Amino acid sequence: MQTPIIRARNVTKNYGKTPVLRNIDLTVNEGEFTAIMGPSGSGKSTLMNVLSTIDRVTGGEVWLGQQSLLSLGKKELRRFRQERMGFIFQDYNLLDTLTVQENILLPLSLRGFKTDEMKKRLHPLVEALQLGAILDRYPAGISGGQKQRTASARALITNPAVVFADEPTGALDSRSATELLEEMAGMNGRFGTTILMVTHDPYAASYCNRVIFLRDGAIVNELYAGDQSRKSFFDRILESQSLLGGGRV
Amino acid sequence: MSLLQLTLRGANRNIRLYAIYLFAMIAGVVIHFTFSSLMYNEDILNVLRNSDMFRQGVTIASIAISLFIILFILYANSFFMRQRKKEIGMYLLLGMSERQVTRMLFYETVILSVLSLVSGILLGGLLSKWFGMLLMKLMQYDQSVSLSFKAGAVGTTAAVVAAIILIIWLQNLITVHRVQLVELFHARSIMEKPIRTSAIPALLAIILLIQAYVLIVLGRESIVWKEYGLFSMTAVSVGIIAGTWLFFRQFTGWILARLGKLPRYHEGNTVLWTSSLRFQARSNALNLTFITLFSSALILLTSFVAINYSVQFSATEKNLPNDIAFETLDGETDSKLDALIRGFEKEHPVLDYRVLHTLKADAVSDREIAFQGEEQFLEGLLLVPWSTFKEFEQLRGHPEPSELSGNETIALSAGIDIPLVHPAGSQPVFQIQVGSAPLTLSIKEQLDYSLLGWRTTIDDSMSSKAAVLVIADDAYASLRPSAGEQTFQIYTIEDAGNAEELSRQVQLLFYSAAPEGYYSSFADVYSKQIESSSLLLFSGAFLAVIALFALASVIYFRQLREATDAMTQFDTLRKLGIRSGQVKAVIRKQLLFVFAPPLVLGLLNSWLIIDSYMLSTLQDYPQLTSIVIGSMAVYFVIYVMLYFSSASVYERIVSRKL
Repeated sequence: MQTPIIRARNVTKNYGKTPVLRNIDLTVNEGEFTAIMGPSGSGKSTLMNVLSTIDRVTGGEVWLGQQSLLSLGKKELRRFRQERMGFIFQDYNLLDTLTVQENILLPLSLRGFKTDEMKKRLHPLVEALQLGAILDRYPAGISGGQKQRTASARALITNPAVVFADEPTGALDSRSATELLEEMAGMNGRFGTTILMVTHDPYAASYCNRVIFLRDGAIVNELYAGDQSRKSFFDRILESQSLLGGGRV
Repeated sequence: MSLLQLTLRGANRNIRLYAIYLFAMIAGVVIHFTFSSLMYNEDILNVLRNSDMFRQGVTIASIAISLFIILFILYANSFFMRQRKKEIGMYLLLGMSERQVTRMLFYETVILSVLSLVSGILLGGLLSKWFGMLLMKLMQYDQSVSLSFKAGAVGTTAAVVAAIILIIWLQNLITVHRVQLVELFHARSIMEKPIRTSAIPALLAIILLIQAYVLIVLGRESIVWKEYGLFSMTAVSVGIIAGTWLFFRQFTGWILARLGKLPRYHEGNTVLWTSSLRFQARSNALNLTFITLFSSALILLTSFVAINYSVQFSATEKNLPNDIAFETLDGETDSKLDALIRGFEKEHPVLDYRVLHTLKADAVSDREIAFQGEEQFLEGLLLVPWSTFKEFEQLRGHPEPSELSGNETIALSAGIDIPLVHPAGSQPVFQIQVGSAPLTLSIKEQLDYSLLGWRTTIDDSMSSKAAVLVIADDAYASLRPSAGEQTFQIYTIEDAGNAEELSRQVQLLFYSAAPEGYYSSFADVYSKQIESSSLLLFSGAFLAVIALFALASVIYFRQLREATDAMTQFDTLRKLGIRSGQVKAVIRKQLLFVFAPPLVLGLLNSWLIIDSYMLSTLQDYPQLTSIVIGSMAVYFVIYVMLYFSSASVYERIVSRKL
């Protein structure tokens, strides 16, 4: 039985008078690794922002678990984000002044965790994301791929209900991107982490279980990986993309 | 990790960014402490003749300086916070509350402030010794100034730093509450829109500026200023301020747009250096307007204090031409006074003594016809024969005055803005009464000249002077029998500038015999005058240095920011194969376009104002023009240096690998 973790009903979002999202209905189940794709300006980042409480909807409603996000105040939203969500950004947003380990542990430090508990949570992540060798280094001295793995570890260390990833491979070379995607897929498989990722890269999307296509602020198609190989899922995504956007991303 | 630890870690790693900020804070403290410790330094206070005035002057100057420093630190902090927006956003996203983030920034501010307070006071103490000695030298006192850290000076400096902490806290509070988490995501990179320009507002900018300049050049004597003074004043201020702003917002953009239409626009690097400027017009306009107006004010201030200091010696001499002069009383008092003066044989031997003969008269016409600002003159009129006037002119080494005939007169209207010579036929008529006989004089000249200077008393000087008319010798001779005569005792003594003690004793005796009589002494004014104008020069120069410092940092911080924003663009250009020499040329041209107009406009504004309002009324001092040009040249050189250093900072930043 699948448990829905994110539910969006009839969500709309306008910037001024320009509609960016139109009547979006979407359910993301626990343990899903979902990609949101679409040409630029299709509203994919905005959709992620409203689902992750970074931005407010203009109309409609969003639930995370049993909690309606509309009813939460600023303070509660902050607590909610801190406890239930993790974020990965295209440009990492690591704090240059902290080491890799400090960056990863920062969310826990801010919540007043004890050292033992921090170490306990750090260990499996470090292993899964191969960060052991660089824990004491500063962000300025490590590669883009390593930075994004650090950022992923920081997003995961709080055991969030959902991880939101905004073009996580956008700034990486193809090898680092592949490594990261494999690790994300691995996390998803191993820990059952729910991941919602915005991307315009069909290759990155092919690592997901499910791909949602957006155009002009509306969901226009949806694909499930099912049991097919990653390669054939990739082909289907490409095919679907070319049908929708004429290959324009 | 506690907030404090997080703060310390941040400071430790971000050392470069913090260093600029810390430097700004320390500089502020040093300047403030240096200045306020002068106010409390006993060595200085003891030697001053008018220490109340000194305290007052320094207090006003130090308030101005504090305001400057606060503004300057606010600017530095806003730059600092802008650089850290993402960091703050990240803290908020990871669950810190706005209050916690603000508290963390507050710790930071307190640490930085305490650091700069301590080091600034130590440095400032040293500097204040040197500045104190410089001040003493300007005032021509031979006094050494000892190193001191007075509680009062430390207290006021600490108070200013406390005010800075409070204001920064408020500023940070606002900034933190304004941080939008959406900015963390790549999807929302906000780009300034290029400004829409058109010919009409661009032209309006030029018209506004030109009308202001024309009004200034017309000068105070022209009809527009005399009849419509308030209107002209408004037109000039609005013209310069609005004109400058429109110039940067519209005119420069319009020029750039015109450049884009040139047939050869795509050749060379014109595209590169003009394109990004188009996007900056909006944010640049205010900044460059500020730089222009600020630099005009800066040059005006420097020129004013320098002129004030350099004319004070000769101006005092001009306004108080006689070392000691007083009206003749009775024989007994006069000989007592004479004995008293000659009693100072050692310090101030009498070099010259003479008696000035005049006739008393009263004005029938409005005195303003002959004496500009007539309320500043003593009641009644004094008539002097031309030959006596000539004798005094020779004594003072001036050229021979023009001759008078019939009822012509020369009015000695000391302090008149522009001396006037009235050609025969259009000479103003001035009616007076001598004894009981009316007399009609025609004014040939109105000179800025004192035969008998300002009346001085112990605590008041320069409130009234004698109104003297020079008339032809024949006229004088014929009036003499029927008129009341008034004579004056005039002494020239050695080292008159320091004859305060002599003057104090003489006037004590004089005023006890004739409380309302005329007494004038050079020394009374000279010592106060030199103190006040030295102080003005000193504070003015001090302010100018700070202002220049603030100006430099506004420019510097702005270039740092713009270069940081342009990094990706230049990275792309490098990938497209631009050579580093080309990068340099593009940056130089781009910055020249930003830097040159404020310099030109600023110099133009200040030169026109100084030339029409200061130099024209001080035509007797040709050396002033070189003082003004000198201070403009200094400003020019510093500004050009700023340009080159900004360009090199810019280059360094954009050539960093991403």
